[in-house]
Amino acid sequence: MSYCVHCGVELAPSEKECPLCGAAVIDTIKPWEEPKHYPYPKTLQRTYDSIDKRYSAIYASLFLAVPVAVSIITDICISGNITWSWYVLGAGLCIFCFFLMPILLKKRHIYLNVALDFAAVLIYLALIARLTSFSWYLPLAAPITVITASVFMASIYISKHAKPFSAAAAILVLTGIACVAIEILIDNFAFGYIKLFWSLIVTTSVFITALALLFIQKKQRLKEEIKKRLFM
Amino acid sequence: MKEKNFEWLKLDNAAKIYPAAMSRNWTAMFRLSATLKESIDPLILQQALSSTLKRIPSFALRLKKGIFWYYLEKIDGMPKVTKDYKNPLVRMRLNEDSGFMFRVRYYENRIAVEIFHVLTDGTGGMIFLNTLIAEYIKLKYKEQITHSEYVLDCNDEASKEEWEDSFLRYARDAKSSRGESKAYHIKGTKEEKDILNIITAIIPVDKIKDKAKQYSVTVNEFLTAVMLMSLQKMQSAEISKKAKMLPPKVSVPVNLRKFYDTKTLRNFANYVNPGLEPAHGIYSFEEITKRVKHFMGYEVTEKQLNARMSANVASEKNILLRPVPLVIKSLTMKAFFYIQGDRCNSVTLSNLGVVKLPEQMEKYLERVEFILGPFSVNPVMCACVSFKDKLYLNFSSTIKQTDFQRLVLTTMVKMGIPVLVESNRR
Repeated sequence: MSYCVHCGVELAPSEKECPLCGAAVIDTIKPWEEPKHYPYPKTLQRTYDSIDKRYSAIYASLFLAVPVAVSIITDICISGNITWSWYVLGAGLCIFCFFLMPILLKKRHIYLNVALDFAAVLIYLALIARLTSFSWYLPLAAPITVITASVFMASIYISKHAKPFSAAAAILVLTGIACVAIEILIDNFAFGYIKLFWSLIVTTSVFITALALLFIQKKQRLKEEIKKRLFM
Repeated sequence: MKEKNFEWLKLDNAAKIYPAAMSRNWTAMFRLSATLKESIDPLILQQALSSTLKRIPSFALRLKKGIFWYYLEKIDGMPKVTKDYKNPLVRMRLNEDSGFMFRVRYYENRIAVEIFHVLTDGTGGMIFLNTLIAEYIKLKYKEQITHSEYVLDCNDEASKEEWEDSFLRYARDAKSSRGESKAYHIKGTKEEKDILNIITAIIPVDKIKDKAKQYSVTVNEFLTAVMLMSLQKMQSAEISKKAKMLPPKVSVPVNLRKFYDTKTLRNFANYVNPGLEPAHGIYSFEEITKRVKHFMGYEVTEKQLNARMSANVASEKNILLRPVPLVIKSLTMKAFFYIQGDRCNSVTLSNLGVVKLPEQMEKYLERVEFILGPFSVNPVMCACVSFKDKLYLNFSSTIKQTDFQRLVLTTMVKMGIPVLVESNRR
């Protein structure tokens, strides 16, 4: 008969340490020995998910590789070079990064996944540019992709860390700024000069909405404050 | 009227939420077990189960999807009794084991039944276990047993009243609001999948009864008060700002059979959530016992409970909801369960009270236990039952920390109640 020195409860002979606090049973007169009976058997019951998602993702990746490989081989056989099959390769890469990669990774790495998605988009666009011309890629496609990726990542970070209303406001402001940046890029590429128009409309409405959201957030706090003081 | 057969049954009012709320890794379950004085013979147990299942056909059911509701379909087979495991109450898959929604397990001297809540509640489960044990004792020891409504005779025929939905029968028009405020939740490091930590506290009934009497409350109210006290301590240690504190609440299931004349072996329970208001300050134990006593006195009355259950029945009967396809109903119920579910309580304390069995059975039995399976938000559940001179309080938890269990049990030790502890950890 042992008692836990911390909790004061009596411990059943099966308990080598107190199940409540983890303190070991130290009995100098009668040291703890393996009991004949335990309250529960030793074997653990394990359940398995009927479909292993990662296994299926590996399978799907292999299936995805088939059309890509067939396209490349056909392309090489007919034109003696990789030409149009770059498109298929790029599209395959995008599908893989968007849908299969998140399942293949053992843990959820949201930032890594988003980064990979946008990297795949950048590569796909570069492949298209390779077949057409790089003139639109560097001044337009690449920066727009990078801006969108940054807004996306920042939004994820904000929504994880800020309060809902402030998060929504911050994401709206970011989107507004991104719109301005995108219009600058487009104007510069298309006309060679910058004259902001549509992004200003977006930005203004988005900023006002953000302000309204912050106001609600503030008011909520105000409400709580009043509640706390006038508690009945 | 005696009627032996039914082909299918509608889910009872309380059961409706469980199939919708269940997920790939979770089914609402509970476990009842009885420990005999000699080791269990699985062959005899299997035989006993066969007669018990014939006597209680409302257990031989599988869950099926209809267009508008889930329903229960009769199964002819027989589940196999299996060896017990270290971790009880592992989730059930409805396509396994021919669709049976209960398991019978044995380990050394113990027989355990694990039941999906769709079939029945604790009381219904206890009658099933009692009948199974009686049958086992009859077969093994050739004992004649005096049967009662808690220990059914397998030679009798099942009656229609045993599978009626008593909620539907007794619900009235007056409804009470089902809105409840969010409660404080115990936090901790999640155990890995499938693991359920069990801590059993064995307490002398007379000692805990005396202590409860000292505060002029019942044993159930006393335990609730000790738990509220512990939750209050835990929250005060975690959160310093009073405004951020949430009310600690204990969900106490109430057996509605006490208030109505029914023989149903299906779900017929409701629950009340006694709690504290942290904004009012720190409560002393006396204050908590008084609060719990008066809360229960007011809430655990036929009128209050009926209004609560009538609200649930009314939504089931709602003419606009009934024709909604099951897929949409299920999703809505899942969302409702997620929002309401066990968010409005911190811990559940289900007390089946004193198990009184015929003398011919008691002499073969050592103890009876009751364990609740994990729920969605709250990581710790408590279930208790008294048998002979001991009260068995079982904590089941899906987190590594045992602060709550420790606080509850040490509070009792400090009050002079001796507590013997065992667990499923090795």
